[in-house]
Amino acid sequence: MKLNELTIKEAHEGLRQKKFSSLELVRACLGQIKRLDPKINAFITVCEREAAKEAERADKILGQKPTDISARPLLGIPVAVKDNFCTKGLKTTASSNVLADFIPPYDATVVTKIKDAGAVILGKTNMDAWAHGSSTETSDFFTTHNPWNFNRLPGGSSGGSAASIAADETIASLGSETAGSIRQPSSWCGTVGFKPTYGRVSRYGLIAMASSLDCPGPIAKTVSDAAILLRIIAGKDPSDATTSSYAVPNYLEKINKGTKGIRVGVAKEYLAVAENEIKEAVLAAVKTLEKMGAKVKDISLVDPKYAIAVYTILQRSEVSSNLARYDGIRFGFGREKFGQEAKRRIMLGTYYLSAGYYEAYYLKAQKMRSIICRDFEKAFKDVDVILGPSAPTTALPLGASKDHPMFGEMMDILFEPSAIAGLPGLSLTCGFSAEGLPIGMQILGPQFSEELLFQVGYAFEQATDWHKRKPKL
Amino acid sequence: MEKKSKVKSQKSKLTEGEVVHVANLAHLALAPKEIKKIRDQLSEVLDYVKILQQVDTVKIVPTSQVTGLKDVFREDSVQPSLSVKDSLSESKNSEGEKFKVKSIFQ
Amino acid sequence: MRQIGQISQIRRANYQPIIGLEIHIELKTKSKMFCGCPADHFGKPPNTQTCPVCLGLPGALPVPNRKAVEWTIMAGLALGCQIPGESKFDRKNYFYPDLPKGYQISQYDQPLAISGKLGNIGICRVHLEEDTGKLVHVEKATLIDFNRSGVPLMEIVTEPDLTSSDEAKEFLQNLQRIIKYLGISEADMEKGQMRCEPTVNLEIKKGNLTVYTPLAEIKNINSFRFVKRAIDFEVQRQFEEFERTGIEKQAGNKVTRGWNEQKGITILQREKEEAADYRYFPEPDIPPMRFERKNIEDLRKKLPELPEKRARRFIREYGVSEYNAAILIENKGKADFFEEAVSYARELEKPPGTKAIGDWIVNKRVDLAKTSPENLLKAILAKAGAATLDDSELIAAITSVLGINQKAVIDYNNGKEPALMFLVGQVLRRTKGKGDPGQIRLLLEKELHDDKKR
Repeated sequence: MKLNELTIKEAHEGLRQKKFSSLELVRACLGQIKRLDPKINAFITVCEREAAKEAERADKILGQKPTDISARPLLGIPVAVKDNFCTKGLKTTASSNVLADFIPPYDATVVTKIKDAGAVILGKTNMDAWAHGSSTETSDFFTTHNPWNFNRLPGGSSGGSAASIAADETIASLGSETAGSIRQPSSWCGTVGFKPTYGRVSRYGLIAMASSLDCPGPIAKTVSDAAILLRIIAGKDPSDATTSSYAVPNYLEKINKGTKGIRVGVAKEYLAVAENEIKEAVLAAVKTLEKMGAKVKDISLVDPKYAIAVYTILQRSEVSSNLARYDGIRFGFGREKFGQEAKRRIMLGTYYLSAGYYEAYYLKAQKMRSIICRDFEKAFKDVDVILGPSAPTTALPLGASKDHPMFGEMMDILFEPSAIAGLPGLSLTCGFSAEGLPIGMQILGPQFSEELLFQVGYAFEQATDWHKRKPKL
Repeated sequence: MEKKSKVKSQKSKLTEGEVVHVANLAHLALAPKEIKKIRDQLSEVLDYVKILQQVDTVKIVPTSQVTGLKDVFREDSVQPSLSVKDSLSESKNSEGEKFKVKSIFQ
Repeated sequence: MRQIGQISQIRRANYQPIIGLEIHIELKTKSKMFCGCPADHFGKPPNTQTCPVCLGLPGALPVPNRKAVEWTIMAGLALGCQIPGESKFDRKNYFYPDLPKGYQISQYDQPLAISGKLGNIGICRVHLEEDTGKLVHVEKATLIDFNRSGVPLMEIVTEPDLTSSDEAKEFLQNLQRIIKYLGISEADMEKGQMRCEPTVNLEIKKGNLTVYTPLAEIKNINSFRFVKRAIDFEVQRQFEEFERTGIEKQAGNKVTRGWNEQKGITILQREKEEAADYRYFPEPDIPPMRFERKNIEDLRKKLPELPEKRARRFIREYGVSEYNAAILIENKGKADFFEEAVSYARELEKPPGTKAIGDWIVNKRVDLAKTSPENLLKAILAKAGAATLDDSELIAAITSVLGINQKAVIDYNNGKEPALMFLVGQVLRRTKGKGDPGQIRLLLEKELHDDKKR
């Protein structure tokens, strides 16, 4: 197996056993990037020189202090970071022309955390500009291509991170989700994507999209890898007043407890939205879990179409305010550099908040939000987790999102309700379409049920081989 | 919450005047061609969100934050600031350690 | 349009200014409102006290300063306000180069304090927000220093209860004194630590007719003296304008005018938009605040004795004149000094009267920075003239009074303070009004205390 195809777990073990060096590992990834990324375009910035230097530093530590490696679970391991996380001294653009040359003077908290864990920053990955999208096609720079089929989109907005994982250009990656931006590209690229509970991971240094919804999270090759990454980046941050004080458990501790007795809810409203192939794959996955001892139950949830409206209003309102700081005075370029999608969202958000319309839109959406939260609370009295499709389709062709003002919202219909309620969700592959494209399913749980979601996901992963398939590259 | 202006209900189509007004509020300059295009696109979205009107929310308390957190503060202590070099490093226009913009009329 | 005849009728009308004040006060916390940069920015080299948060860099987040919140609540309590159980921050969205985020974190519909009173003037609300950067206009450009961006700013809004420029000036001076007593701001208007924007209009009565002129908010005033002058000018201007045009107050015709120091006039400011649409919504990055009764009462206990109350106590307990009391409480330092001097006096065998101490400080215009309470007393004693009452007469009177007023002595020992004043009164009766009440009180206290010990 090529080194760049390893998981975090395997790489960590291999480095510990001195089967290879960090430099070799990093070079393998850089080699893959050189070979494939001209076609995939997952990366905006590749830190070739700095990554090699970091790898050498890691190798020195690995040589001298073998104990350090367990204390620093990412030591010597290359990580790709979505380009909306501020990285000190390293260009950070949010894939927007406004920030085309922005070099932050500080690191996002999650970046500091992975660096402290020994990670080697491989580069910054492409995204929909400002995270406004579900295709990575609305990047102001270029479109990322799906490694499973270069004529297909990788999904978004964390399309670059998902593609880089699917193409084994990196060992691990960080993405962010407002409503679907981790889970949807993971679904289309056949990777594991985890959106944590809102407030589980610090947003300090994450270029804000919708403040009450944004969540940094891992996109990885396996469920265990996602668990390893989440443990590193989660936790209360004094610089982010919305982070939770709940202790961060060791997500690997109970990960292999299986699904016996776990009550799994399947919502018909969610299945109804998905294409047939996807529906079948998800139902097959449900059967697999049942065979492993899960108790499956049909449940009913509020029609997710309402969540689209809520999300559209809340997100655009907060976006319009969060993007007000981009005036070209202290950094970046002026507002004339905003792309079409950004302008549309800013305009709508401004309208929703404007005098006379606040009650009809923003306030109304917040009230519907309460209803959605309560609906989940009610559901989770009868079930422990909810299982459903991730994206309603498999990866769509390039160009599918053009000039479609609600493309993102429609693609993310099955992610919006849980995002609005601040719930965690795990997306992983549960099959492949006739065209050979990955099909994703998601597991949702109540706030701070990350451990349980990893447990169920891991059980499914171990019982199936979907995660072992790789695109022919 | 008291809003002094008249409370309006959702609508489907924006007038061009409204588009221009919103663009001004948002400090976005739109070319005349853009105004018409954006007007149609915005109206499409506005049309979609009208479904919320079907839901009775009169007695519902709005949720502003899902964390349920309250009273999160920092203690009053000084932390290191950026150096003036770092503070100005990304600005394209500065003079004498200050950021510079075109003259603003008072 | 008014007819000529009607205008001359108005000339004979009565008019009354209606004034409301909006005051901003920079809190002297160590750090800024939402980040750890130093809050003391006066005279610091530009842009040396900024960070991603107060510079509004991408990804930065605000975390509120607890002390600033507590101090604002205390200010509200000192102004007789109610403190609602719940409060939060809101975003006020507008564009201006000194506002790095393109919104100001402020408070809209749930301020920290509401419905208070200072003297006769109603206090509508007290809330907390962050200050903006500082603009300097040079030729063809504007320069920005963000050291001040994010400094905690307390905003106090009065009801439109003020009726004259003198009243406004006095109100501001009282307010400033209270703020300084609380120790939460230096409140120096010249340094911009206290800023006032009066909103002025006129109520004009002519027979049965009562009309109002349009509201004018006046900006750019930086001293108490100019507050008075600006209001006086504006009142006159509005009256004359009304005579000329007859334009009455209407929704939407409030104006902003800038005070021009050199010319001594207010000038209509160029309006960029009509009534600004700030698109307020709750700040999603900061959880709301909730205050239990206990928290509020704990803060109330931390309030120092406020100037007016302290003055009254000086009059009552130390026999100080009303005039002198007002001077002694001018600032907390002076009042503290006086009371320290009184404390020292208690330890002395032959203490000067408290009234005498007060008189000394006021009449001799003592520079309190250059002496100590102890030294002050020495100076007083050295120069003390003959008491109007023989020392022995005074002691005899005191001994006698204590002897025949056992009940009062017992009451005092049981903590009933008024018993002491009763005894002072009794001594004065015996001495036929001669003697310094303050000194008598001190001596009585000493006797009673010594008695108790025996």
